[in-house]
Amino acid sequence: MADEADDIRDGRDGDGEAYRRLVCRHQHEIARRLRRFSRDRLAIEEMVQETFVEAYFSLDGYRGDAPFEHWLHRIAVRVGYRHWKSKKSGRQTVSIDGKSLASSRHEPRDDDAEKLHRVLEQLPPRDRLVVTLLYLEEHTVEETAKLTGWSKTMVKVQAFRARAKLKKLMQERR
Amino acid sequence: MNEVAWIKSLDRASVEPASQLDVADSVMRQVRQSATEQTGRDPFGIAALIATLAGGGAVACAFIGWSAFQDSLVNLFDSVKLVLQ
Repeated sequence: MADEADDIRDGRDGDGEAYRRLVCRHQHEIARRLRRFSRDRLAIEEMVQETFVEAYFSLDGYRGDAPFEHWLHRIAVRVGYRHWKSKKSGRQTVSIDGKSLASSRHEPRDDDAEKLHRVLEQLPPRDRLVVTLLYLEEHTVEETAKLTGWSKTMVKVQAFRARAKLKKLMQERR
Repeated sequence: MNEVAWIKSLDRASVEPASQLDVADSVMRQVRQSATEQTGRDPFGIAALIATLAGGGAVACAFIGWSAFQDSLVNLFDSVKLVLQ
């Protein structure tokens, strides 16, 4: 079995099979992380695809100073955040195969998951992102800053604002 | 319970089924498609380069012409100058 570093190097040189191996190796972890951004199975699949396509064309930018998975996760966070923003602005998302994504493809209903999703949906994308990364995925401020491309101060300010909105939502629901 | 503990409790209670997706084929298909589209755009790049070179040549010719230009009216006021002197 080829080493990951070899696959990255070969993928960069245009070896499709090497890049396919990388996709197979990381797609489940990326899908697991992207589940935070949508409950729609097809939307998740589309975001995973988008992450790997974007990663392929950015492979030259991967310097190898952090694990490949962390680099992919950063791209996935950007893709997920774009998904939220496009949903917020009311644009319809169309999958790669041209099928539109209807809301009926949510995972089977689960009360708490649905409640969590509804609460988070009421937050603006920036607040939602900071809550997801900082409190649900339990990243540090520094890690969140790296994942989002924001400064650490910005992360703290955004987290403070998001918590205030969350508190209000929690009180409204009680 | 504060707001962070509340959101965490909702998250912990959420059931997360294992994902069964396989996007390798569609990713590779899209990569190939995007690469083909990029190749298809190359002729425009070549046309842009040719147009730039032609434009540059025209500017150079114009500059040479302008430098060698003799103003036919340059001696128009010579007779007036002579009278004033």
